[in-house]
Amino acid sequence: MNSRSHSETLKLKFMENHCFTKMKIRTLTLLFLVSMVSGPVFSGHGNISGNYPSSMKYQQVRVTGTVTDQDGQPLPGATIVVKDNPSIGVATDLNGNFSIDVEPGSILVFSFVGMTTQEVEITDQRELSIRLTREARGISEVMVVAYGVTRRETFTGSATVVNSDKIERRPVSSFTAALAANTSGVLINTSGQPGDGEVVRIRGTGSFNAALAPLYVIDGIAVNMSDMSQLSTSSTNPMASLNPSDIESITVLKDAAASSLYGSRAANGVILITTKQGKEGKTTFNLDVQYGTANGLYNKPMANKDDFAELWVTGELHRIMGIDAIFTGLSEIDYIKDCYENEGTYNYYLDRARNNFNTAFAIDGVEYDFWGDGYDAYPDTDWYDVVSRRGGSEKITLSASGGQNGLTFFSSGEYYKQTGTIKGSDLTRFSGRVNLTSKTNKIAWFGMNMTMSYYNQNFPLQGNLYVNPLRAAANIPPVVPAYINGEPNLSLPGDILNNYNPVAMRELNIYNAYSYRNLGTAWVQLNLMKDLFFKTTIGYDSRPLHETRWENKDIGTGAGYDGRRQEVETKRRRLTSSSILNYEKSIKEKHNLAALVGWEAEWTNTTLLGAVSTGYATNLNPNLSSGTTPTEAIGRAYDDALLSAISRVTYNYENRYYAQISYRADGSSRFGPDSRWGHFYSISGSWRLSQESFINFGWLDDAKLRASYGINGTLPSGLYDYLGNYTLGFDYDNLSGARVTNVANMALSWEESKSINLGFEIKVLDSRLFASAEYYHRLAEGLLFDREISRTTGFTNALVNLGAMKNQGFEFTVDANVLRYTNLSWNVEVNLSTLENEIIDLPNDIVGPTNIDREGYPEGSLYLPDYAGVDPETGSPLWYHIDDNTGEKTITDNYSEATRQIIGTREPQYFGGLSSHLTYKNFSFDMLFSFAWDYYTLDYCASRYTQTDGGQSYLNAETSQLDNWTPDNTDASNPIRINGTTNGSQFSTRHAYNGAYFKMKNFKLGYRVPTKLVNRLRVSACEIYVQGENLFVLTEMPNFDPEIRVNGYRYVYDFPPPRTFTFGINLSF
Amino acid sequence: MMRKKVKKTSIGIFAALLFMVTGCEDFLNRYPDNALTAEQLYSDIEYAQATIVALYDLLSETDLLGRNVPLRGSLKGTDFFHFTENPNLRFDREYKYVEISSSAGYAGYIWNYCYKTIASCNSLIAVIPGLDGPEDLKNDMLGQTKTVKAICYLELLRAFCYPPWMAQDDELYSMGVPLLKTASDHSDAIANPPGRASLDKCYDYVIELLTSSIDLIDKSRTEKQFLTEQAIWGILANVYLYNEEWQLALDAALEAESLGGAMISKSGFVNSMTQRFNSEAVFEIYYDVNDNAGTSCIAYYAVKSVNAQGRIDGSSIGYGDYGASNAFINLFAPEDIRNELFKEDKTSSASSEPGEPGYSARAYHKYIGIESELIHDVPYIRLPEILLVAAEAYSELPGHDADALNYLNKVYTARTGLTLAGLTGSELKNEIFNERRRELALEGHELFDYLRKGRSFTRDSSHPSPLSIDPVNGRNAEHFHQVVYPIPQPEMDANPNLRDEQNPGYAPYQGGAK
Repeated sequence: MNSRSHSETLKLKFMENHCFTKMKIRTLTLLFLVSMVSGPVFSGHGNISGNYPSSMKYQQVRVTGTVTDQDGQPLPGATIVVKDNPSIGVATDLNGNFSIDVEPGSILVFSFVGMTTQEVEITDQRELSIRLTREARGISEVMVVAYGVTRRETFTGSATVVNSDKIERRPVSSFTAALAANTSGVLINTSGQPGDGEVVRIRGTGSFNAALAPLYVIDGIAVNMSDMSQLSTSSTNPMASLNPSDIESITVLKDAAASSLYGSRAANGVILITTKQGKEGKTTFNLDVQYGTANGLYNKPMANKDDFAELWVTGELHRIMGIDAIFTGLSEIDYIKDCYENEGTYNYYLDRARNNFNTAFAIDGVEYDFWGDGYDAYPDTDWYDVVSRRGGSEKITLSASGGQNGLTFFSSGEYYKQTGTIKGSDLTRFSGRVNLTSKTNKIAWFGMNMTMSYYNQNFPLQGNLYVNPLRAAANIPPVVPAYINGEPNLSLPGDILNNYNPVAMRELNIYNAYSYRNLGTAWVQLNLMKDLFFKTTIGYDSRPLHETRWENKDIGTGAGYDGRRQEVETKRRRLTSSSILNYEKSIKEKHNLAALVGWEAEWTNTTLLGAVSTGYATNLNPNLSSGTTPTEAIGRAYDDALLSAISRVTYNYENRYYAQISYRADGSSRFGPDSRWGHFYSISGSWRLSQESFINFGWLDDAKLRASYGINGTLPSGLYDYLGNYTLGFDYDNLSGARVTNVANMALSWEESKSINLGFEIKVLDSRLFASAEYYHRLAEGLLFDREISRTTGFTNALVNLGAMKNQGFEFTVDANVLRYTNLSWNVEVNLSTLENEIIDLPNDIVGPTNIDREGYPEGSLYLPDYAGVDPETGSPLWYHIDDNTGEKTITDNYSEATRQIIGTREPQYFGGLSSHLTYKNFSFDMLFSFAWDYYTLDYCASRYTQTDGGQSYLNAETSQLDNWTPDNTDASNPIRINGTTNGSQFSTRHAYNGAYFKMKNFKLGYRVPTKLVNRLRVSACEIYVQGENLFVLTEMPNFDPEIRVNGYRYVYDFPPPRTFTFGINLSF
Repeated sequence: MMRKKVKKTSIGIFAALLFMVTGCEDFLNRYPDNALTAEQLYSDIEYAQATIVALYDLLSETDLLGRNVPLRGSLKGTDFFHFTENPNLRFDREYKYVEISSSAGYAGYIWNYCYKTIASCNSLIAVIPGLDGPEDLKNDMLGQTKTVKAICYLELLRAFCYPPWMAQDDELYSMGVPLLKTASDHSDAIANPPGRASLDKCYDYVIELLTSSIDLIDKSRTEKQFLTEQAIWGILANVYLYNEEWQLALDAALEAESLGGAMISKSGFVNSMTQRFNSEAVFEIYYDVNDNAGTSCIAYYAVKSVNAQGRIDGSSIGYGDYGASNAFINLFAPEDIRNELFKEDKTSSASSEPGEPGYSARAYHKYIGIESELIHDVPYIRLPEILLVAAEAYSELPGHDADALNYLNKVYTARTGLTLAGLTGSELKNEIFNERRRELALEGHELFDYLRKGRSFTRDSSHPSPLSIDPVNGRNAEHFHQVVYPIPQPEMDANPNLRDEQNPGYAPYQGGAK
């Protein structure tokens, strides 16, 4: 059976095929590089030789003037450029004065950070006095949209823009965390593990088996943001490789009009990230230094030494009484009651139970009498304390920005370190960025955005594992010492957690991942004619992830291998190329037309290289080479490709009536040849009522109605799901085996999401108040569905397009500049979203242990028996039974007779955020709150571990368990406690809570040091600030932050976000 | 001048666009680097061997012969108990007889993996005749494939169906399993999955597969990690035994015996038991350092060493989830070398109540490897089993008690150095039965032996979960129906034709279907 040589030949053949395609890609890439380079070369050496401007010389005039802010204060460093030729530009001096030579008829653009840009056409004026007004918060006039920028009032889709001021100084490892509560319709969870991935849901859950994450686009290039970790149960968040301070703005595209140009990947929304660009003028530097501390939150209130002994003995008492009941002929409960009546009998059992306790919780094999002289031998270990520590973060960012003569740059460097509140968790990041734009040549503009980052992450394993420190902290009783004679205690009572003491696991094991990422885009824009330009962009994203795991030779999984080292290096590269032709035409200022057409190609390649080694002499040399046995070699490569054609036409009449049509065709390598092309489009329109002459109110600045309809898609997560090929790797006796692992489905296709959006927005009272209301209805059809099929087929499921799901809701935003004085301003922004999810078409119920997918109900609805409390007579837990036929409700103490019913959804039906920004003189004060209501959360952890009424007798219990039923306490909140008997902790509404919450996510207090003071130090601005994150949360489930999970579950092993306080200083010079 | 250059650039761009469009289908054709198409794989008979290898790999899954099959049959009997302190432990449901169709322990896994393997066999059987290659090689491939298919059907029948005598006795117990014989049966099953065939049809099919395999298989093969002629005779003997075809079972067993192997001597036992391919091996699942089940393996489930102080050693491995019952320990004569496999397990300091930690249980170290404790072959059929089949068949055939005793002693003497004498009739049958318990412990036979022999059993007091099973008179007793697995809920969800064919005693189907 020696098939090896042959399979190698095969591999060679295979590689030939691949090389062929690769060569083509290489050629293509080359072509584009050439076209990029050739752009400026072809279009003349004007700038180099200096003849280009002179050849175009007209008579010039000198224009002088001052630029001030709305209060009349001079603005130093404001930039003034010629609109048609940005290479001509100047900046104001310290007194806000400027002087520039221009051709008559040209348009001057005045801009300053945070101020509304103004344009002035030079006719016969020679002296100007320009007053720039502060940009209204949240209503940025220019917004980044799909494949371009637009002015807010012309936009016909639904999108939320979050600007840098809400992102850059938040002490979070990735920018996605800063979107939470700042954007309507978006739900985001957060974890306390540094570098862990956030889950982002835009306008609900739209699929069963496809990815639910939005598409991320950085500087015009779609980036792959999926977690690449190969060694399971740790997640590494690709967002954590980006420095949030580099971000200028984030646009969340929500409806089809906004996102359909991203076609097959836009159904879950699109997040556009735009990084900062330089502005013409003097080079300015900005230094931001932050230091923070973090404290763990939301630990379960666990029993201490005395509480635990009491709980255990009570449970043991009932257990041994129950056993003896057999000899008396009485029922267990009657005998227990009898025993409580008779003091002598009771004491007899109490002694036995106490003895059993002393035996069961013997320390290092020695039994101590807890109720006698041995009491002090038992520790009172707070295991949460054992696994946690004070965490913190440090961040230093230095950036520089500036430019002249049409060449601008932004550059930054960052050091960031976050120490998690669970020992063994941290993240360190170094990142650097250079963004360059050249408009020195009139025909060819080009630029480049480059970022490099390195991050290194240590983490305890996540998930429900014995080695998870949070599970250990909740599970190990307080009477167990963490150390014995200075060594980690490896003998846990009842062998719980397989004796994996978290202290030992932390000290002996290594779980590490590091990544060094290169993300760059380069573009060239050819201004072919006055109204026509061509822009081609190349994106390169290289993302290697190196994961290391060492499991020690003495305890835990590694002990079975005499130590095990695993290392995997995953490299993902994505090449993107897009070329777009843009046309803009305005006819008599009435008919405004813009159109674009282009294409895009994207290729993503992932390679894995890894090895596993076992058999180590010591724990001191955990490298791959030191193991005696190389047990595994991992080497894989996979790739996928997407090819697209895009087009869009927008038209408006007198800035009053707007219409837009977009169309995209996507071809994906993830489908068979006959079904790989999908077509996605949107049509939308808006009407600016405020432009109508018959609507003419002084208080009304702007009012707009808009509507859109369109189709988006979702791709399957798997790259080759449609194929039913023979997969290699099913080896036996060191021979290579191959078999078919999934059902071929050549008809497999996109999920299709049809969405309708209706919106109304209004701006009144000189921009004092902005409000918007939206309604959306999103219907996803032909869902990628892993359908269960009869196992007799040889498969368990088949990926098919099946079923439909609907999300609909309203989104409201109000942004009010309540106070707007020079020295005092207050801005309040509130957003509120509703979300209604419903499964429209599903052939079978899909029933999980706690939830159900059923037609007509929200996806993943809680499906549990209704808990009816404790029987005061017997202490039994009670549930409701509902008769199938009559619907009659009765109470039963037998869990298997309890009827499961749909309780409700685990996803908030209402949620939103509230932010406040107050400035007084040099002080500023910001607050951010989030809230949600109308849904359920489920304490999964309590049911399995911490409220088992003695069922898991060797595990620690919550203090709430102390109130349990005994014949002396019949009015208790918990059932009778019996060690080893699962009593009432099975999944039921007993552990379900109203999920409504109100959370203070952030506050920030800042002070701008007066300019006079700092100017002497050559510093133009200086701000110091303190801020806090996760200050409090109000919700029904005690000690719980519902934002840990978007699915409303509380697990024993989740790592809740900590409460942090950060001090920072920001200097500009 | 300028215009010209713009033109040039535009031409360049449009040329690139054109190039892109023409090359696009190629650009979108992406294939996994670890997979082959059927055409590639079957283009050469050497490549096609990889699909045979994959069949053995499937058999070696812990969800099939690697763990679940041997442990289920053993933990549902009298000889091993299971620690119950944690209801989430593996095989807890099987041990306690609490399987229900929606929560049926490992039923779903055994069902899935058997059909997964059967489907692979059937697609291969469809392809082999058309391969370009020598006829005898093709025949050998067919023989191995058919035997793998027979093993899977046999394991399905043992796990999900009652023994044949009960089917004759009562129609309720006469259901077999869905019988898919060709590749097209499987593709048809996507839209229209089959219901259960009758038990006798299923057994007939298994016999047909095995007898035809004997003619096809390469008779020169001796590697015991693959199927040999001897293995097929051995399996066939088992099938006849289950059908109480004593003469046929005997003939097959004797045929298997004649094809080689020898009992290990008593003195060599301790060393040889843990050796791969020892002289008793006939067909065993091969595991080595490159390909093993890790912590899912049968050994990890069993082992738990104690240190000198009698405490669980920090460096000990394994879950230590089950132990040997008193009844089992008492089966062994003091001279029996198999006593060496018992090890002290768990801590012995505390109370003596079963099921509690602190209970002094005894681990039975049958599957502990030498180089690494976790790496050990798992036998599917061994010479002692073949000899005991012969002994049992003789004992059931009139006038052959002496032959039966002779065959019993072939095993018994090798292990104990003693010779049994003077046993006849039911005493003899009893001893053969007990020898099967001793010799084939943890190989998955115990429960089915009780059932097919119609023997009632009661767990002794060393069990934390007491139970009585009586296949003849006790079929209405509380836990009786759990001697076989229920048809798993997910299968019934996807297969309407099985919904009315649940095993007796289990709740009728009421599930997700609209």
